[in-house]
Amino acid sequence: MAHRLINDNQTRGVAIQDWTVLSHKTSILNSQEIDTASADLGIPIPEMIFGNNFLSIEHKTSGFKLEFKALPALAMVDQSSTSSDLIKVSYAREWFEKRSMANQEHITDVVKPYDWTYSTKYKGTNVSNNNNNNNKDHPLDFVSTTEESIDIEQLKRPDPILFYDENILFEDELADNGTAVLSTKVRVMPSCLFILLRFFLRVDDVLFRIYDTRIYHRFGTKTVIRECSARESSYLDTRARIPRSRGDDLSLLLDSNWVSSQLPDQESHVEVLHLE
Amino acid sequence: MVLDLDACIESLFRRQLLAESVIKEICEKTKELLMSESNVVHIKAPVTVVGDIHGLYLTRGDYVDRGLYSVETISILTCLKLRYPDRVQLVRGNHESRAVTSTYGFYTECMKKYGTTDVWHYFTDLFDYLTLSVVIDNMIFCVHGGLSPSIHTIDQIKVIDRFKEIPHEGPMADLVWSDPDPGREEFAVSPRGAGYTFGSMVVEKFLHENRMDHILRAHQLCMEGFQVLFDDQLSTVWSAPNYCYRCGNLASILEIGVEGERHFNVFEAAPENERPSPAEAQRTLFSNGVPTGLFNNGNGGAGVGNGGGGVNGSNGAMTFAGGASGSNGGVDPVQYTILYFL
Repeated sequence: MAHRLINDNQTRGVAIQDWTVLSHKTSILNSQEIDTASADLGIPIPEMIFGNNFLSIEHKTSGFKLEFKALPALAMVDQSSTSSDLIKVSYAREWFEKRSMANQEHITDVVKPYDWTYSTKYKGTNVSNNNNNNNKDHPLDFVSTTEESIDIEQLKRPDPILFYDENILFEDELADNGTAVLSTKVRVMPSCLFILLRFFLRVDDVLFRIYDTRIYHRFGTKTVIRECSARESSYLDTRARIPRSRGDDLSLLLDSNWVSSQLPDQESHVEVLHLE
Repeated sequence: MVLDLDACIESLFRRQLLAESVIKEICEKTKELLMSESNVVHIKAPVTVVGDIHGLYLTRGDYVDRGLYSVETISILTCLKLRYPDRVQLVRGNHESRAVTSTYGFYTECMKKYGTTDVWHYFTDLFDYLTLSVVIDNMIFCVHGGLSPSIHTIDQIKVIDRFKEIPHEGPMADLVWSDPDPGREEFAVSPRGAGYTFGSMVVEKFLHENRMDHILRAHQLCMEGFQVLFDDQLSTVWSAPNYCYRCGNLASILEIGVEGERHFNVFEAAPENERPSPAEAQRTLFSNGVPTGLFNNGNGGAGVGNGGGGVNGSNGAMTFAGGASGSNGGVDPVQYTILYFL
């Protein structure tokens, strides 16, 4: 099947059939962009913010286009009044107790609450152009389904990979208390394309959390499938699964693939989008 | 055998590791030296100030670095400190701790390079001796993170018992971790449940109380390589260009002249340092046993070398370029486990 690779400085991608997949990577936002984004979003921005990076897939005939970007993902971070009460760093209690002993209770000002773990159930931004869409009753949108699912068996086949890319959208080390990363991976094969958008969270001595969004399209079909899952487990339970042979080496805990293989399933939701 | 520091430094610049026994000796000697240093080291300008280096890449080498050089970085800084004790000052940063380096990769790197954890123990024991702050000409206060609500005067820093692992709370923790918040005036508690941010009035009061005019700190990545806040009363210096091989940020080192004038020397990553070759990436990916490309040794390399170090010397003998810890999906057709993600 004919395909054309795109390699334009900061943008790499592939054009195949009616589809274009693009991954754009550039530097982190500058201070001015950070100030603007922070004011817009109302929360402090992660340490490494690739606000201009994106992954996009576009289907020319239907006008379907889905983008993955950092700022819309951060806009979904919880900012409710209780948002920062849910998870605290492991030593928070100790910190507060010692602090009272040091007579610093007068500092009552707390940075405006927000979910400092940057947990986001972002599943992409649908920027489809419905003008191309002949069927006005059915805008190009994902709807829940129980009938379709991603063909994992097909994805397990070692078919040639025409295009592969990984793009990190944001990353924060949570002041040495762990990691929060939102990243995309894409692979395009002669028969299908597959995207994994992953939010990976590790809060040391507290928990692991993975929110995955998978996008699958088999070329020649009229559907795009999106599957979202949310999983988490305690840090200690996950750590206990490291093979004993590795001794004190904790590096597996930095590997989201390994952690992912250890987390129990929590919920999974499948949606389908009809291209016409 | 007599320790030949010049030979050690030279071999480190050639990227050759020092023998474990040599590291042990150097660490022991440096500890003795640091033991007599105050928590606040007073020095005179001219001074060159270097911020976070994170897996420093020394310009003498010309091949690609994946931030795997934390051992070399801290080795060379230790040798330089020992060789020029009054001209090189190393300030402790939040990564100079056992807890942080055991998660973020310095531990793993030591294991990989020396086959034992001894070297990691030598260095992390040494970290307990690093000073907490530097004052330049009684005017500029240098620290890694920022201010603490428990500290109003320089004398209060002098009485901290610093010879220990960085605690989670208290003035020592605040000095290496706290961040400025330009949108505030006072201290505020982080939503994480530990740690402070400090605002403009805090800076103003601290400087006034101690009759100083500027605070210099590191600790925060910024695209421009430096950031000046609070009406020119505080600067952040960041010295790792193109952090993690993908941030695309500039870096700077700050030169302070005899009149206290500040000049940020801004630089970008050397071209050969922009991105590891697929072969190098692959080597890293697999040798680290983390076949994801996402976190391989990434923040790992950052284990050491983020000490906001004041390098005191009239000649700019130290040339640092680049080299953050790296991680990005090295793309190679044979990396089956990476490419065939599910």
